[in-house]
Formats: sequence, structure tokens, C-alpha cells
Amino acid sequence: MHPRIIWAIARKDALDLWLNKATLGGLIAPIVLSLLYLLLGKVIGNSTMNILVYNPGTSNVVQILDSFQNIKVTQAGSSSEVSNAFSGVVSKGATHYAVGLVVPSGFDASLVAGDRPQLQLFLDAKDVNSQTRVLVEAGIVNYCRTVASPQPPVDLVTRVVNQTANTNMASTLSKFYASLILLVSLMVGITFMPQVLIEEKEKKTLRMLMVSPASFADMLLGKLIVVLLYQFILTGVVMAIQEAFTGQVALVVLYAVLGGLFSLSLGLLLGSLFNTVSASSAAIGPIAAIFIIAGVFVGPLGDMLSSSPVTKIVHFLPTYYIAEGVWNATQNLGTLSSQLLDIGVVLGSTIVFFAVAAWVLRRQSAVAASI
Amino acid sequence: MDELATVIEVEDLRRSFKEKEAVAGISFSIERGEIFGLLGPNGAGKTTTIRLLTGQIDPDGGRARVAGCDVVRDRTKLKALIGVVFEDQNLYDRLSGRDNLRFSCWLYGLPESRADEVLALVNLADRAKSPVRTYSTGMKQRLMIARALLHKPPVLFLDEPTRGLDPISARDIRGIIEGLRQEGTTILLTTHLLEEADQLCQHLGFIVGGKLVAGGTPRELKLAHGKRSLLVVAADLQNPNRLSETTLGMDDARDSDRLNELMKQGNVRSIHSQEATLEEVFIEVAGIRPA
Repeated sequence: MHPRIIWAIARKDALDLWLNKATLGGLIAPIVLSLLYLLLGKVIGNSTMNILVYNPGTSNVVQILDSFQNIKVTQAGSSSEVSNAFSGVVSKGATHYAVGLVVPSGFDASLVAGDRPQLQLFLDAKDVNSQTRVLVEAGIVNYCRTVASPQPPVDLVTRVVNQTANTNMASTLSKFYASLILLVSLMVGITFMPQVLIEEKEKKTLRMLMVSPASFADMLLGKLIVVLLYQFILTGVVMAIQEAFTGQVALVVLYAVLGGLFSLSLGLLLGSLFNTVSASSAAIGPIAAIFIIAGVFVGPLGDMLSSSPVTKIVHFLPTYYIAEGVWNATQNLGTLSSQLLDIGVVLGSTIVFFAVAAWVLRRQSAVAASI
Repeated sequence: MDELATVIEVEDLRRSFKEKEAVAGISFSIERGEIFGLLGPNGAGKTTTIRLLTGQIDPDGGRARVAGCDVVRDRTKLKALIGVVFEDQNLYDRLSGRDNLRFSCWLYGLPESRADEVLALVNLADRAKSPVRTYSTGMKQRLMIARALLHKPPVLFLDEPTRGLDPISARDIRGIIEGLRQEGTTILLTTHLLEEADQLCQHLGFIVGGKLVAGGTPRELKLAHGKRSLLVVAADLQNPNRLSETTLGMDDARDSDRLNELMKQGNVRSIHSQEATLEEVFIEVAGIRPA
């Protein structure tokens, strides 16, 4: 292998992909989708969440409410004002509150003293989903731990109103579509890798390469590098636009890398199997659809479709685990075992696809001669 | 390489694809600074021979050395010493002509200024920045030659270099090829155009069914396969303004006497030896007309 030659092939392919209107469109589409969605999100999702707090002792426990975005905190005059706001009997024209918190006077001191003070949390299920509820409760418990570790003697009473309502569907779907667009951005490998490999065969430029100082391995490595680079740049841009560097950021980045490598390995396999761009395009279409469809079966839609037999079938697709991993990581969900399963399936599938592609390419050792 | 007089040596080279023997034990050699033309009908084994000699595929048997390199064992070294113009116009058509050549410069570790030098050599400097897809067939062919010349290889393989070109473009390409030969480049050329082969090549080989069926200089081939006869054009005895043609065999004593008689009469206007054309040689050795 020759670094100079690998770099030469990567430079040529980077330029060629840039000049190719079809691939350029593939690069721009996820960015446009992200920007469009960002714009829609700004327009539609710009509503302020009203929070009513009764905190006579000015406890710092209210800081956990900072985890909400676009909030407007109103100080209540009494605890009954808060409980009334969530009683379901709200007078016409009164402010609608999504979250209410009643912190007793001297809350922090009571914690330290071990008096087991009661803290009342009110949530409206129309605005706050179950995951957020868990987060808020965990935040309160963690705060209490910082005051009176290790066992916080707090009596947290949570009351959820409008349980049967659709839980803030707009907000949840917003996050869901964001992770779906992230999945779309991961398809660069599937679409670009076959393109750059098959075009060399179809246009017979591979013959030129094979009489130049380049080896077949140099050619493959150059292409893998440039497609991976495009993949990472695109995913990075989409993640930045979607503000996806949230939740478990390291895991989000890990899934972006693993997803990119998975896509690349599948693209390499397709590139090794087909000799014409038109034939590979026919295969790439359904595969790309499967890639995206798997993303539908995670998150809120996944919850709704969990009893569907299709869901069980989708669980056999490695792309489902990329989607699940991305969703869980961005939403701060998922357990260690679920993350290990997601990472294991994606990594394992990537290795298998690379191995099969290598085997196919080795079988085509006289590939330059066979075209 | 510099001391080698024989630049390409081929001995009993063989290659089969499945059941078909594409190259069936051919042998020939090419001297330095010579253009060797490999002629034959479609599917005769010309392109397979080039692919064997350029290390694109392995032979099943026999051996070949190009510029002192064994085509199987010294493949890496060989790649730096050869340039290939392929039968198909295999260029990156979205890239400009200059970018196609810059890419080859990167591959060979050459300065990018070399791309501009060869573009000027093949008269493409004014279209250097245009995408190759906008080039005419002749321009693409010149660009392919430029690409093959980029690293100044001592040996060039040209597979049908003027195929599909208009007469002007073909003439330009032939001019470039002849110029390269004069500079000392050894060239193996395949072509269907027998006039082109006659004009350019110092030696020819006729390949049919994977076998080299005839070889030599164009003149040797024409003489070997032509008729040993003379075409005599003489004026009529009764009407001197009327010319008649008579074919006389060179090995026939009676025809010799007849020629003497015509000469004595003083009516002979011209005498032509009737050597074969390359097309006639081709038809004779291949048993078919060239494509």
C-alpha cells in the first residue's frame, strides 16, 4: 500500500463526487431537510412552557427545572394555588401550567435534619412525557442527595394530570424526526461507495488504474477514506443543525461513527456485487428504504407499533439497532444492556459486511481483467 | 533498459478464457524505437495480448518481457515503464482534461506542471479546464495519449488509437505517434486500418484465432504474399492513342519474351510491379476481410 497513491485516489474521488450532481444532491438533501425541520421547529415549537412554583424557602431544588427549554417560571403565593392549577378546574382565561412544584419552607434544612420533607410535583401529561417525568424526578432525587447524601430523606409526591392525553406529541415527534434525519445522513456510505467503485468498473477507468502504480487495495482504501470523510462531515453538519449533540453525547457520536461504518461496509458489499451503476441503484433504493423504515420502529412511533408483527421482523435488521441507539442516546434513555446490544449488533453487522465484501473482492481478484 | 535493443520479447505466450484460447502461443520481438503493428480481425487476440504484456492479466503459459521486466514477476516495476492507450475511452468525464492528468501526476508522483506540458503536446491546452464530457472523440483520444505519455514511458501500448476518429483527427494522432517513435519510444499498436499500419509500422504481425500467422516488415509481407507479375501499359500498334494493359509473369519465360518484344516496339508507356496490398495480405493470411 502506498499512502501517496491512496491519497491521490481519495483526492480524485472527492473532486469527482463533488462534481457529480446526483451525489451532490444526496449530500445536500439531509442538510436541507435538517434546515427545513429546524425552521419548522422554530415556527411551530416555539411555545413557552409555563411552570408554577411555590418555593417560600428559596430552595435551589427548583434549578432542576432548567432542564426544560423555553420556560416561564411563575412564583405562586401558596401551595394551594399550585394544586388548584392542576385540579382540572381552571377558570376561563387562566394561564395553563405544564409543571408545578411545591417546595416546603426550610426544605434544604429539613433534608439535612432528616425530617423527610414532602415535595409535591405536578405534571400535565399533555405537555410532559413519561421520559421527562423520570428525568425530573431523578433530578430532584439527585439534588436531595447532594444536600443529604447518600440516602435523601425526601418524600416526593408526583401528581400527573391528563394521563390519557397524548403526551406532548409535537415535541416528541420533533425529536423523533430529528433522529430520523440523522439516519438519512448515515446513508452516504450505501449510496456513494457503490457509485465510486462501480463507476471505475463501468467506465473501465479501473483498467487505467491497474496499469498505473496503484494496486487494487490502494484503490479501495482511497475510496473508503473519501466516502467515510463525506459521511462524517455530513453527519456532523446534520447533528449540529439538529442540535443532536445532546443527551449522552459520547454515545450519540459513537452511534454516528458506527452507523457511518455500517453504511460504508454495506456500500462496499454492493459495490463489489454489481458492475453497473443502474443495477446497483435498483438495489440501493430498497436497501435505503429499509434503512429508514427501521427508524420508524423506535421512539414514539415504535411504542405505538410495538405490538405489530412487523416490529418483530424489523428487530432482525441491524439498522433498527442504529436507530434505537441514536434515539436512546439523544433522549438520555436506554440501559447499559440495551446500549451494549445496539453497539454489538451494529459493530458485528459491520464486521460481517466488510468480511463478505472482502471475500467477494478476493474472489474477483482478477476484477480488472474481468470487466 | 537503456542498453536493451530488444524491448519486447514474447515467447509462446498463451491465455484462455474458459473454453476459448484467446492467445494460443504467440512469439515475437520488438526492437527499441520501433512501431510494431498487431493486426487481426475482431476477437483475434490483439487486446488480450496487450493486456498480457501490460500485466493486467496473467498468462497461462509462455513468457514475456517488456523493457527488461517479466510481465508476471516484475509487474510493479513494469508499471512505471509503460504507457497504455486503451481501446475504450476510459476517462473521468466529469473532471476536466487537466484534472484527469493531474490525477495521473499524483499517482506517478510527478509535478502537476507536467500535465500542462503534455496537454500542450497534444494541442489541448486551450480546452484544459473543460469537462472531458464536452470533448469530441478525437480530443478524448488525444487526452488518453497525453495521459499515457505523462510519465515519459519508454514503451507505449496503443490499442486501436484512431478507432472512430474522423480523418483529420486520425491524421493528428498518427503524427503524434510518429513523433514519439522518432524520439525513441517503442510502440506496440493494434489497428484495423491497414493503411495506417502500412504508414506507421516498421514491423507487422497478423494474429488470427490467437495465433500469429504472418509477420515481417510491410514490404516483406507484401512481397511474400503478392503476385510476381508486372503490369505493362503499352500503346496500340494501329492506334497509338489507345492504351492497353498486359499482365506478365516474372517467372514465365514466354512472358519475358513478350516483355522484350513490347520494349523493342517502343510502345511501352509504363511498367508496374504487382506487389500485394496489406489488405490482400490480410485476406490471404486471415481468410477473411478486415473489419
